Amino acid sequence: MIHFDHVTKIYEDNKALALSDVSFDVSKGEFVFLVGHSGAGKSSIIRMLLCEEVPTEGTVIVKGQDIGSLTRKEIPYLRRNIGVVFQDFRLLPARTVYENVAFAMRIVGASSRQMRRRIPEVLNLVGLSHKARAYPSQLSGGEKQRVSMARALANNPSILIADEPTGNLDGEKAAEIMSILADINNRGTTILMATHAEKLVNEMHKRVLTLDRGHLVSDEREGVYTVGV
Amino acid sequence: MVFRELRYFCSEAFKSIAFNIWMTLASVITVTGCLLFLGVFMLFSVNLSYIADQVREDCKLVAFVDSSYSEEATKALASEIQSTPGVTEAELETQDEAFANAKEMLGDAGVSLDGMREDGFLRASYTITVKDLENSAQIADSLRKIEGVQEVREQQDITERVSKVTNAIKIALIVAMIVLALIAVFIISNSIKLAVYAREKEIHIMKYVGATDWYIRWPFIIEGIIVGIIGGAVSFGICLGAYGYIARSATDFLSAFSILKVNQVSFSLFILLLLFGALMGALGSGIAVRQHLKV
Repeated sequence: MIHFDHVTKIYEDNKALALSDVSFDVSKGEFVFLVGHSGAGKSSIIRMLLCEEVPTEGTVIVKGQDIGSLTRKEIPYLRRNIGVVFQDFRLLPARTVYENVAFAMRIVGASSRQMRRRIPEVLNLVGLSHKARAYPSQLSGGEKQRVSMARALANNPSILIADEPTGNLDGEKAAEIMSILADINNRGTTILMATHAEKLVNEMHKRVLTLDRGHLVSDEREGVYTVGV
Repeated sequence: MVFRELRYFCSEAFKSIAFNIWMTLASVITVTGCLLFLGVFMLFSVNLSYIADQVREDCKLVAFVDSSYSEEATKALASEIQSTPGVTEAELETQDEAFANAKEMLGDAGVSLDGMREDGFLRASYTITVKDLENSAQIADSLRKIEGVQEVREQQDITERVSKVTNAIKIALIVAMIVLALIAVFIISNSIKLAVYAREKEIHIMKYVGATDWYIRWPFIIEGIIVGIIGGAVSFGICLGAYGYIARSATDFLSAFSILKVNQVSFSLFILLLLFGALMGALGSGIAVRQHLKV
């Protein structure tokens, strides 16, 4: 599903070494935590998965496609297979919950019938069916993040990338998000989650990739959070 | 599916216009100003070439017939002159007519011509209209080869001057179009840029969920086209109204030449201004969106 092969990333503008010879594989249906200090290279990995950056050396293959050789025109079509959730939610404030999800579906050319069927489905999955008509400003942080998860899932992506999804949430809300993510993962979606939340990582008993200053320092099945230990 | 997307793009464009209504109005006004200039320039130049054509039409070759030729022999030359390539019409002025005309032109002093009738002082002539004035020199040469044609007079200098003027007008029109196009594109692109800024977040999200560049671009391009077309329509109305007024009053003081009637210019003016406006709008917004597509 995801394949990093000796990936090195050096940003051209500041010559900073973001990733150094990183290799790992993620298979279909896995749940993987990506941990490390700020600047350890988590964002660089995520940016490459979203085709925002290409590796300086090595290859990144997502769903069988080498992202280094994609043309500008091909990128949107690969992105449709990847759902993404950010720490800051990134919802459209002028649209309702339902419309925020519909927005993502309309872009890929879904018909209104498909939208009417799929949107209640994903809202139900994140437990927000009753808030379909609410605007983001009327929601709590946890609810906002659930909307953004519904939006990420609307087009049935095979990979879900979550970049610090619980970073702005308190413990209880974070646990809710984690249980939804686990639920999504159980339905077969591959999940890659970058996080600082030690407690959540330790509770989940999932695979953990630990990064330190651009190096992949550990890769453990049923791992624990070991950053700075 | 295409229709659904088009409807969506248009509704997004109108939403954006409503959201930035004052900026849109400001750019419509400036674009109108630009297109107004273009319209005035176009009307001016088509009329100048129209007048130039009239001047050229008045430019004819004159072939003088050997004065020893009898009237019958002179008339016999007509067919040969008319069959010369490039000649469309040849009108005979016999010696008698030339004499009468000269007399009339001199008025009271015409009596002094009496008695000069017989000595071949005035020759019979053919006034020749040619198809294309640019070739008048060659036509004159072939006319000179006809036996009985003593002399051919061309109005070369006038035709050359007219050609120079019309060519200069054409070049000036092209330069004006380019300059005005640049201004209009700049204005529209700035206005659309604001609309793009207002929706930057949306564009970002669209990119992440896999929207193609064109999907993001279309609503803005439609917005630009709408601004351009409105500007074009308003400037068309103003130009046509003003031209109608001028055309009516011009007939009173321009007796030598006529200018084009309103209905002769309205269609091409309409097409020019609207097409130009739409094109500049599309181009301007295309430029505005470009740098925001890089995610």
